[in-house]
Amino acid sequence: MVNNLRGNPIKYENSQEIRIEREFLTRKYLLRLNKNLCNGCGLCSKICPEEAIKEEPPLVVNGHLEKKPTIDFDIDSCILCGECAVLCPLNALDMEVDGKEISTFVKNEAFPVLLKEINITKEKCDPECDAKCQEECPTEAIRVTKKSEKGQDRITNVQITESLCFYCKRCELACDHDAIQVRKPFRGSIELNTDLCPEGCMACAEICPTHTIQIENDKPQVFSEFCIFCSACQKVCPNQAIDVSRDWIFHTDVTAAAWLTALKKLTSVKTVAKELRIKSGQRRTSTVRGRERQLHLKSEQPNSDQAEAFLKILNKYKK
Amino acid sequence: MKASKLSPKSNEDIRIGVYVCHCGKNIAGSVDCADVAEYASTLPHVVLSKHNLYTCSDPGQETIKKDVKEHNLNRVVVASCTPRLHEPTFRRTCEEAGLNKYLFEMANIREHCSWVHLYEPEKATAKAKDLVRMAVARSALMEPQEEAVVPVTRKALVIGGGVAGIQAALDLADTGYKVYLVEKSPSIGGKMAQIDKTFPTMDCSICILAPKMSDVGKHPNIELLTNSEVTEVGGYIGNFKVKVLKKPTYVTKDCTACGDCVDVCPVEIPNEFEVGLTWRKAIYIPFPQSVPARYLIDEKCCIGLGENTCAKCKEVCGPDAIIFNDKAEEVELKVGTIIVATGLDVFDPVSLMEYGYLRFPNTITSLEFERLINAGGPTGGRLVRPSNLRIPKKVAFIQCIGSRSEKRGNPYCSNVCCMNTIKDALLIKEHWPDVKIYVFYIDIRAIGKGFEDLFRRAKEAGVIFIRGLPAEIIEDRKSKNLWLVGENTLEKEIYTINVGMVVLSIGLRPRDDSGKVQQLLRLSKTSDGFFMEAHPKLRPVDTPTGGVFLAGCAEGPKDIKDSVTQASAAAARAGILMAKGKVTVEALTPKMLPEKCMGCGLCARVCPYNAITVDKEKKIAKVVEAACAGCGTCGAECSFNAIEMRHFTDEQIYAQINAATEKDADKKIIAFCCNWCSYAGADFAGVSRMQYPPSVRIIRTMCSGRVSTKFVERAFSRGAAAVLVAGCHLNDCHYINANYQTKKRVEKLWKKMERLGLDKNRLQLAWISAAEGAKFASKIKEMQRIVEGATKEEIEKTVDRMTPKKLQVTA
Ligand SMILES: Cc1cc2nc3c(=O)[nH]c(=O)nc-3n(C[C@H](O)[C@H](O)[C@H](O)COP(=O)(O)OP(=O)(O)OC[C@H]3O[C@@H](n4cnc5c(N)ncnc54)[C@H](O)[C@@H]3O)c2cc1C
Ligand code: SF4
Repeated sequence: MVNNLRGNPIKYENSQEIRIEREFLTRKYLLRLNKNLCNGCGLCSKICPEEAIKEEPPLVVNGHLEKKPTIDFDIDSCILCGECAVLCPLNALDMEVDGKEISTFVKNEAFPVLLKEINITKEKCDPECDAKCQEECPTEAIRVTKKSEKGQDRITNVQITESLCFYCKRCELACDHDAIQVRKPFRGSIELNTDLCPEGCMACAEICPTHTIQIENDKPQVFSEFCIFCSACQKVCPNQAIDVSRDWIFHTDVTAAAWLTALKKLTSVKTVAKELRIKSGQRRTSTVRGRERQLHLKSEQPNSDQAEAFLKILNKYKK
Repeated sequence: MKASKLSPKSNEDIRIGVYVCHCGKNIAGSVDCADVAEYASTLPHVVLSKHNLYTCSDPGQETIKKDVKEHNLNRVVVASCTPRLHEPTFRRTCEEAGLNKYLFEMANIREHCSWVHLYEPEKATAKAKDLVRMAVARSALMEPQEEAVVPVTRKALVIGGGVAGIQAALDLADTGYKVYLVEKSPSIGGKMAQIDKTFPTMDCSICILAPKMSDVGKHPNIELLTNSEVTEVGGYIGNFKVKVLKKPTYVTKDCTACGDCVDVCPVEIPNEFEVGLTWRKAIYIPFPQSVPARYLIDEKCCIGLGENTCAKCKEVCGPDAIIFNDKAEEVELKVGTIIVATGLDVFDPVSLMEYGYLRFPNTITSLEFERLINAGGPTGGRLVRPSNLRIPKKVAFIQCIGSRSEKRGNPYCSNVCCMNTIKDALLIKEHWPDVKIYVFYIDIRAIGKGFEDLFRRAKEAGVIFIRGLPAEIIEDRKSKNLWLVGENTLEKEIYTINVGMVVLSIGLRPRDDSGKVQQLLRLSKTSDGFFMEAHPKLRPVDTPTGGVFLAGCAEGPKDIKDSVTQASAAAARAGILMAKGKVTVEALTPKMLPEKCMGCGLCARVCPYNAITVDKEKKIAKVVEAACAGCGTCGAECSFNAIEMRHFTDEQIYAQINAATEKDADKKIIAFCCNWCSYAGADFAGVSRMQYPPSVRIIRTMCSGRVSTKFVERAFSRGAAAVLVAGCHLNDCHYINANYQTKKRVEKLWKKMERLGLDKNRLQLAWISAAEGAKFASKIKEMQRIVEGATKEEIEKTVDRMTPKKLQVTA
C-alpha cells in the first residue's frame, strides 16, 4: 500500500522492524524501530510526551531470558515528534523528515541532540596491533582492515560506523595506545546486590547490550565502566537486585522546557535543578561543578537570561 | 367568557356532532363515507352526523360552527386525516364556535385506514366505523380544560456555526433578540469556509462568507461560544434551560493573532481544515479568516499540558495570552427557542475499493479538490497530482460517490455534487484551458436557478460528459496514471480512458455526532439519517419538539442558497414565538385526586422530570405543573387510581378499548401508539400507502409510558386477539426515558401471562420511530399471523384469567 498523503500515520510491522510513516503532499515523516537492536529498555516509553509507547514485559524462565522486553507504538497517540529517536541509547530508533535523519522536535528546536562521540586518532594506531578494539566492540561499529605484508598482518585502516556505536567505551579501555576516545551521552551508576540474585539466573547478562554484566562463578558481575545506563537489566531482573540510575545527560544547548520534562523523567528533579543552576551561572562551591566543567562545559557559555526563563517556567509549572 | 369556553357544564346533556370527510377521493376512494356517517348517527349521544368533501375547507368549518350553535352541540368528532395534521385547525373552529377545544376529537380514517387498505373497501369501511365509534365513545367522556399560558424567554440558541447557523443568528440578532451561537469547532464558518468557489455564481466562497462571520463576531446581540458543546437541555418551549461546555483553548482574549507562537511550536500534526493534505502546529488558528480570530492550543497533541512542560509559545507570546491552566467552563443559558444548524459530513469513499481512494495517490475527493484549487490552500491554488506534484493533463470526475445507492453509501441524492463538479470543471478550464476533463455521471441534476446555464457553459468549454460510472479504476504502477473502465450507457459501448487524476464527487451525509443532538432535543430522524421536520411541506423548518427549529444541511443535503433560505425561515419561525412572548401549553398534566392518594411515591419515582413531590406527612403527592411535560407515566404507575391524566383519562382510554372490541374482538389487534414516534410512524405508513391488514385499532397516547398494565389487561379481557404497545426507540423517548417504564410494564405483563398459562406472544412490544412506516406495516403483518393463530379457547381462557376478579363478582 502506498502512503496516503493525507497525514494519516500508517504503521508497518515485520519481524525486523516497525515503521510509522506519515506523508503530506509535500512532507514525509518516518519513524523506524530496529527490532534487533532494541533491547526493550523502555527509556523511550518513559519520555514519550504523548505516552504513545507501550512496553511489553520480558519473559524470564529458569533464570534465562526467553523473550526480551519489547516496545510498541500506539499510532493514534504518536505525533511523530522523534524524542524517542533522540534518546534511544542503542540507536534502535530513527526518525526522518523528508529523508533527512532528524527528529521533528530537534528540527523545531524543542529538543537537544545528545553529545556522544567516538574519535580515533589513527596516527596513534600501532599497525601491528591485534585489533582489540574490534574484538571488544559489542556491535559491528569498528572495522579494522589488515593487509598481509611479508607474512605479517598490518593494519591499514580502522573504520567506525557511528550509527552502530553504543558509546560504551569498551574499545577505548581496550586500546593500549590511547587511540580511541569515546564520550558517553549518559552518566550514572549501576548497583547490583548479588544476595538477591536467584540461583543460576543470568537474565541481566543476557539482556546487557555492552556485556557490562557477565556471569562469573554462576553469579553476575558488573563491569560498570562499560555501562551505558539503559537500565534494561533492571527491567528484566526478576528480583529487583539491580539499580541503575542516570544523573547526567550530555547534550547540545537548547531553549526548551520539553527537554527538562524528559530530563526529569530520565534522571531526577535534582539533575534538572542542577542543569538549570549551571545554566544560570549560579555556580556555588561544589566539587561536582569543577568536574563537570572539566569534562564538558568548558566551551558552554552559560546564558543567564535563558536559564532564568527556564526557572520561571519550571516554577510556574510547580504551582 | 371563560365560563362559555369551559361549557358544557358537566350536568348538561352530551350532544355530539360527527363529520366524516371524503378528503376528495383520498378517503372516499376506499371508505364509504356516507355509510360511516349514517352509522355514526346511531351511536349514543350523537345528535347529528354529516359527511362532506373537505371538512377542513372553509365551508366545512363553517358548517361545524353553524351546527354547534344551531344544534347546541357540545362535542365535535371529525373523522378525517391524522390529528397530527388538522387537530389544531378543528380545535380552532370549535373555539370560534364557543366550544372548549378539548371537547374536540378526531378519528384518523385516512392515514390509518383508507390509505393503507386501498383495495379492501368493505373492510376499510368497517374499520372506519370502528374508529368513529371509538372517537365518539371517548369524546363523550372528554372534559373542557384550561390551558396554562407560559412566557417565552426572548433569547435564542443556535447550535452550529456553519453558513446556516450564521444566517439564523444574524437574522434573529438583527430583529433584536439576544442570540447564543454555540459552535463545536474553534471557528464558525462550517463547510463553506473550506470551499474555493461556489456554484452557480462562481463567487469566492470565503470572500462572501468572511464578512458575515465577522458580523457575527461583532454583533452586540450575539454571544459566540466556539469550541463549545451543548451538554444538557431541559425545560420546554419558551423556557429551555441549556448547559454548554466551553472547552479550554489555553489562549486568552488578549491574543492578537500575530502567529509568532506557531513558528516555535515543535508539534506537527495533520491540518483538518486542509483535509490532512498538509500539517499544522499544536497551537494554531483553524484558517486565516477564523472568527474568533484567536489562536488556540490543541489539547490532544500539545506536549506542554498536564505534567509536561514545553511553553515555547508562551515564551514568545508578546501579549502573554497563553495560559496553561485554562479549564473547561460550564455555562447555563436560558432561552426560549433553539435552532439546530449542525450541518453535514462528507461521505468517506474508502469503502468503495474499486476506486482506490487512499490506495492510488492520484484519486482525490471533491473536498480535497476544493483545498487544492484554493489559492490559500496547501499548494497555493495549483491543482497538482499528489504523486508527482505536477498539473495533470487529463482529469476525470466521478459522480454520485456515496449517493443514490443503497449498497454503496446512501440511497438519496446529495443535491450539490453535480453542480459542484460542473463548477470544478469550469475552474480547471479557467486556469488551465488545455486540461482535458471527463465527467462520469448517472444523471446530471441541474435543477436550480442558473444551474442549467452553468451546465451549458461547461459543455461549451469542452468538458466531456459520459453517462455511466466506471466499474473500476486501475492504476498504472509506473506513471501513477489511472485507467477508468466502464460502460457508456448512452452509446452502449465500453470505454477505457486514461487520466492523470480522478476526483471523486463525494456525497453529503448526516454528521456522525448528530445522534447526540437528537437525544438532547428529542428530535427524530428520517430514514436517511437527517433530522426530521414537523411536516415535510407545510412546516419544513419546525421539529416535532415545540420551540426547536432546523436550518441547513442538518435537515437534509442542500446547497448554500437553500441553507441560507432555510436559516432565515427558521429565524422567522423562532422570531414569531418570541415576538408573541407567551405560549400556551397543552392541558395534559395530571390531576392528583387527594382522596385516593396514599402518598406511596411510586409516581414520583417514575416521573422523568422530577415533577412530583410527595408530602410524606400528609401522605399526598403534588405535581409541579411547570416542570411536567404530560407524558402520563405517573398515571400508568399509580395503583390507587389517584391520578387523572387530563385529556387522556383512564375512562377515556377504557371507552376506546371497549368501543374497539365491541364487535369481532377476537379478530382485532389493539395497538397503543405514542404520539411522537409510533403513531407518526403509522401515519407515515399511510402517507407512503403501505398496505397492511385492517385488523388493527390504534389508540393514541402522548407517550407509551402512559400505557398502564390495566389497559392491556382490559383489551385482553374484552377478547382482543392481540395487543401491541409501541413507542419511540429506547433512547429517543420524547419524555427523556419514560419508555423504559413501558418496557418494564410489558415485561411484567409477559411474566403474568406466562404465570396464567397464556400465550405471551399475543402481547407485542415494538419501538417504531416516526420514519419507520415500513416497520409499523410489517409489525402489523407479523401480528396478523398471531391473530389468525389465536384459537377461540385461548381467547376465552384469556378473557377469563385477565378479567379482574372483583369485576367478575359484581358482573
Ligand atoms: C465538496 C463540497 C462542495 C460544495 N460546493 C458548494 C457550492 O459550490 N455551492 C453551494 O451552494 N454549496 C456547496 N456545497 C454545500 C455547502 O457546503 C452546504 O450547503 C453548506 O455548507 C451547509 O451549511 P450548514 O451551515 O448547514 O452546515 P455546515 O457548513 O456543515 O456547518 C455546520 C456547523 O455546525 C457545527 N456543529 C456540528 N455539530 C455541532 C454540535 N453538536 N454543536 C455545535 N456545533 C456543531 C460544525 O462544526 C459546523 O461548523 C458544497 C459541499 C461540499 C461538501
Ligand atoms: S447531486 Fe448529482 S452527483 Fe450528487 S448524488 Fe445527486 S445526482 Fe449524484
